[in-house]
Amino acid sequence: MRSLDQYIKEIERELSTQKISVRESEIGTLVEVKDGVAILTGLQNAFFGEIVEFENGESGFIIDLSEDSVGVVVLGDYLTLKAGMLAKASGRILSLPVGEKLIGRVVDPLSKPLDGLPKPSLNTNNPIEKIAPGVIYRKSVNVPLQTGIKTIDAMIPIGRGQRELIIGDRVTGKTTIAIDTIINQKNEGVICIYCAIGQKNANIASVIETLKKNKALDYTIVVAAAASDSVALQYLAPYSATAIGEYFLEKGKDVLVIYDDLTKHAWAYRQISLVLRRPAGREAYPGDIFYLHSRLLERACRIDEKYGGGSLTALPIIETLEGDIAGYIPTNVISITDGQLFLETDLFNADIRPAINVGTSVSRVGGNAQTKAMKQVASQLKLDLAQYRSLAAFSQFESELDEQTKKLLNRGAKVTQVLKQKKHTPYSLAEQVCIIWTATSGYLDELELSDVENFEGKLLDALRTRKKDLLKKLNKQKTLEKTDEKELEKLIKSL
Amino acid sequence: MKIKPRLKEEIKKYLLTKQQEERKKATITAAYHLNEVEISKLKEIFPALKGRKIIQQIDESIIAGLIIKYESKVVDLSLRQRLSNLEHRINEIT
Repeated sequence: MRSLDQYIKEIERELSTQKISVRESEIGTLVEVKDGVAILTGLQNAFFGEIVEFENGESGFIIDLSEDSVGVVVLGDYLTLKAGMLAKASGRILSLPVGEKLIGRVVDPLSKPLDGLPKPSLNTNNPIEKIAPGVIYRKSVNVPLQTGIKTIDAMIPIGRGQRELIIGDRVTGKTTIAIDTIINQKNEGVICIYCAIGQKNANIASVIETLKKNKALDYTIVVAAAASDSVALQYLAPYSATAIGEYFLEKGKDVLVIYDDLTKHAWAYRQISLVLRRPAGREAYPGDIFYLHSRLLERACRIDEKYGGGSLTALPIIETLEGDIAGYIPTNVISITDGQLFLETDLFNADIRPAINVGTSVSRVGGNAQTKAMKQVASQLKLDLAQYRSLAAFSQFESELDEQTKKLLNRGAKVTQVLKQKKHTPYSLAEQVCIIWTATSGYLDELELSDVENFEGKLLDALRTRKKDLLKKLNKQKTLEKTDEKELEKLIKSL
Repeated sequence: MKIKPRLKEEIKKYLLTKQQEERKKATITAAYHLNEVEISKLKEIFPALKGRKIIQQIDESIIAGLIIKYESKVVDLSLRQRLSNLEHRINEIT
């Protein structure tokens, strides 16, 4: 509680800056209220996306302009609105306060704090909807975004400025991949924004807990619109998160935004459109459901140094039902993003976690976003896995196969085992390169499958204690030379 | 019972002209009845009031000042509004 003197001083300061201006404002009268949307008459000169303030203090923004009426999405409790109320058009487009002080906070899509701490002091207002940077401002993606997950960094690499979709059924580890990526950005100077759309409050709370435990909240902002929040906030949440990211992008920083998940975002928009009586299309979604996601994801980009540099990477998450990736919303978002990570329930249940299907997952940026060291080891890795997949059906006939096939199956099984990873344990680039090199060079072929995990643990410990210089060198130079390979060989033989 | 189309057209035209008339009006809400001199002074300050039919409304709750409404626009110069703005701003600070 601040002292009374401070309060009085601040009030004095506010009052001395008062200006009396004669302003004319547009007025409208409320005619109907339906499920979060209010229909008003009047407001003849209002524009799309303008903020409208009601008599009783609630506010909304304009989403529908018809000949005689205006449709307003109410931001807040629509149950307090009554027919006949007056509403004033504020002349401002829908925007939210942004600034450095948002880092480490949990906010709603209008920058109101949700973590119980005082309101952050923010000076800039960024519009929530913005046109994506044009072709001339962009640069091609060639800097990797290390996720810390071996499978992704080796075979489906993500670059800064790319959009990579994480798609899978419920409970397949989609959010876990996103959280692990955030945890791995600790010393990379990347600002992370986690946007929760329509999630359960308990899930959001557990995500925040995990981030706090891994000290990731120091460079992360959480924008939350839970399932209990109004449909308007769920609709705005991803755009708000991107607007916050663009504040840092304009300063030349690298930003990572995670949208969890866009399926619920599409549902929220469908609800608003149906209440506004817009014509329903396939699966009752409105006609512009593609534009809803495309204008969001196009704002992810890498800016050329001439215009300030910086990048905004987007990791949207889509939840499919029964593995149906050919549904309406999944196919829409797949066609927008630069690649996807398919997570399958079968792999998850077979204890292959992360449950990424390497055969069908793709990254359209690929090798351009990989360091030289990783490229060297990943090519052999891909080959081993591809051969294993093609022979996987024969693994049941283990005893009746020829030597060559048995070797390939053995190598494939060992490599698959090495790619498994526990959640919230990110690997640095050097550690990943070393472990994958060990697997692809055949040093695990003689071990039993059940011993591989143990061996990996021992190798990791040995690297972290005895070979710190090697790790540092690899992390800095990002290439694997012959001398490094010899050092690794010696270390492995000693275990 | 069907309405004759000619009748429908006449009703439409009548309603449209009524709407146009509405648009040409202007409402001034004050705490007391204004006389001619005051109204002509107001017309000088607000060019938008010129050429409009003025309708006066008396509302004591605005305390002082006036509210001018025309078409869908409002110019709110009442004391009540300034006091509520003040209340808002003090609430924001605390």
